[in-house]
Amino acid sequence: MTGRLTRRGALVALGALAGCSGANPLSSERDPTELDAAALRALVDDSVPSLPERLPVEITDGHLTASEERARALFDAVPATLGLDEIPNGAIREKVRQARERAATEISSATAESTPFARLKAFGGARAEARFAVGSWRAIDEGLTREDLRAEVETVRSDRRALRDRWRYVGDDPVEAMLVHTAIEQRIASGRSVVGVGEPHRYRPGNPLGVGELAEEIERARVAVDDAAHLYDRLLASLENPTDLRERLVDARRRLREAFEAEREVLSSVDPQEPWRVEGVDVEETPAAEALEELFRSIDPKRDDGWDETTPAEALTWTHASFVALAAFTSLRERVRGGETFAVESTADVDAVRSAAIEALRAAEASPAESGLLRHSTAVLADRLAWADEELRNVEGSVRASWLRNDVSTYLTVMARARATPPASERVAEALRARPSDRRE
Amino acid sequence: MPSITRRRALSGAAALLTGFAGCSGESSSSSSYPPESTDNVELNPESYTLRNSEVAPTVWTGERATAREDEERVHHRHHLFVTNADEAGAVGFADIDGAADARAFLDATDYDAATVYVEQQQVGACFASDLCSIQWSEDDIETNYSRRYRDVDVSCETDDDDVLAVLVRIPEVFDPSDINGYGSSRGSGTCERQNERIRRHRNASDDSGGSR
Repeated sequence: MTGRLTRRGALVALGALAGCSGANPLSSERDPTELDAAALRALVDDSVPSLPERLPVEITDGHLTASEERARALFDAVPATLGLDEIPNGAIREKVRQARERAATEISSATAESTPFARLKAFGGARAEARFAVGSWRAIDEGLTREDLRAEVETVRSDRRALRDRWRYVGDDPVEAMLVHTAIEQRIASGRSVVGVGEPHRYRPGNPLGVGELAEEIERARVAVDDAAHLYDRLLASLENPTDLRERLVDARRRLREAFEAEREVLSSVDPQEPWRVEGVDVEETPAAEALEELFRSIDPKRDDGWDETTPAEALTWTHASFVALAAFTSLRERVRGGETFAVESTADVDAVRSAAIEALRAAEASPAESGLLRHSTAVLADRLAWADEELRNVEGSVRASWLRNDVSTYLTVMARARATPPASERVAEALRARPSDRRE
Repeated sequence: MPSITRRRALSGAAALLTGFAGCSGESSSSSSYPPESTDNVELNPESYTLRNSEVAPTVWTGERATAREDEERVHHRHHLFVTNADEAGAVGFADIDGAADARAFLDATDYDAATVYVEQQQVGACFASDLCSIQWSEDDIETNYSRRYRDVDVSCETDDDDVLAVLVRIPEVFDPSDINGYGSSRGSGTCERQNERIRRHRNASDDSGGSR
C-alpha cells in the first residue's frame, strides 16, 4: 500500500488546488459530524482475512527463484546512493531513486506473499520498477539509448509470437482451465505486452528516463511472456488428455451473458444517472448511495463488449463479476428500501459496517462453493478492504464523517459482493460444466 | 471572439496577481484547452525566454518591482506589453545571463507590425517550459506551454523554483490597454502535439462554417 496515492491524498491535493481559487468544494456542509481519529484508527485491527490470489496450477520453485533473482540483480545494478554528482538534475534523480525504492518495497512484499501466484506477480512488478531505474541509470552513466534495446525488444516479441502460436485453450476441468487461461490472456492476448522501440510516451527524446521507460516496458513484456509460458507448460504437464475447451468457454460465456442481460432487465427502470434513488428514502450523499452507484456502474453493459472471441476466459470472469455485482446491487437496494442508509454518525457506525464486511468475506471463503472461482473474486475484495483500512489507519485529528463516505461505501460493496459471490460462482461453474444437452440458462 | 470562460472571472491584473500568487510550480491556470476560439492564434510564435534562478522580478517596466518586506512571495506572474520603441527602452531586466539578448529581442522587433507580450511565471528548477502558442483578442490573452525536463546535466533540486520570463512577439499591432484577462496552460505533450490539436480544432471550425 505504500507509495500509492490514496484517495484521501487526492482529496487533500484537490483541496490545496481549490485554495488557489478561494473555493473549497469540500466545505459545503452545514454542521458536519466530526469523529475522533484515534478512535477510528483503533477500529482497524488485523481481522481482514488474508486471501491472496492463487491459480489451480503448480508454479515451480525454480521459476519463482529465477524471477526473484532477476529482481534482486536489477535492483543491485543501481547505486544505492544517487546524488548531485551522479545525476545533477534533481527531478530525474528523484524518478530513478523512487523507482529503486519501489522495487525494494515490492521485493520485500513479494517474499511475504503466501501463494506462489501472488509471489510471482509481485516479483514481476518489482522487476519492472527496478528495470526502469536500471535503464535510466545506464542511459546517464553509460550513454545507453533506446535503440540499443532494439535487439531485446525483437527477442521478447518473437518469444511472445511463438507462445501465442502454440497456445490452445486446453484443460480438463473447465473452471480451472478458465482461471489459468484468464491469467495467460492477461499476459499475452492480443494487444497485451506489446512493446516497440518508437518514441517514448512520457518523456522527450534524449531524456534518459525515456530509456528507462522502454527498459521497463521490455521487462514487463518479458515477465508476461515467461510467466504465461510457465503457467501454460505447467497446465499442459498436469493434463493426461489435453482437450481444447475454447468452444466450451465461448459457449458458456454466450449463455451466461444472455441470462445476465435478461436478469438485468429487471433494473431497466433504474436511472443510470442516479442509480441510488429509491422512492421514499432520502439516501442522497450517504455511503449507501455511493455503494449503489459503484455497483450499478459495474453492471453497465457498455463496459462488457467485444472480447468474447479475443479473450473468452477473461470475458467469463467478467460475467462472473457481473452476476456478483448484480446480486449485490439488488440486495443492497432492498436494504435501502427498508430504510437503511448506513449514514455515519459515530465511530460505531463505521465499526458495524466494517465488521459486517469482514464477516461476509469470511463466510464466503468458508462456503463450499467453487474455491478457485470464489478466490478469484474474494482476493480482490480483501484487497479493497485492506485499502479502506489503510485509509482509516492514516486519519488524524478530527475527521468529518462525510470524508468517510467512500471508505464506508467500500465496506458496503465488499459486504454485498462477498455475500453474492458463492451463488454466482456455483452458477458460472455449472454453466461451464454442463453437458451439451443440459446447456440451458 | 472568445466566449466568457472561468479565467474571465479572474480578470483584472490585480486580481490575477493575487489570485495566482499561491499557485506555483507545475500547476497551471484554469483555462480551457484547446482555446475555445481559434481567432488570433499564433502557433510557435517568435519568442525569447529568460531564466532567473532566483525567484525575483526578472522583467519590469518603469521602476523595478520588489517584493514587500512582509511578504515572502514575490509576484511570479507578471504581464506587460511593449508596443513601441520608447516603451522598449523603459523595460528593465534583472542582471542575469541572457538579459542582453532579451534586450536585443525587444530592439529587433518591428513595432509597426508586432506587439511584444512579456509573461513571467514560476517553474520548477529542473523543468523547462517551451512556448507553443499564443491567442489574443481585444480583452484577453492566453499562452500555452509544453513542460519538459531540463537536461540531465543541469544541476537543480526538486524543491527549488526559477522564474521564466517569456518575451513573445505577437504579429499584430494592437492596443493592449483593454486586456484584462490573462490565461496560461501547460501540457506535458510536445508543442507539435499540442499545436496539432489547435490545428484540428481550427480546421473543424472552418469546415463547419465556423463562428468567425
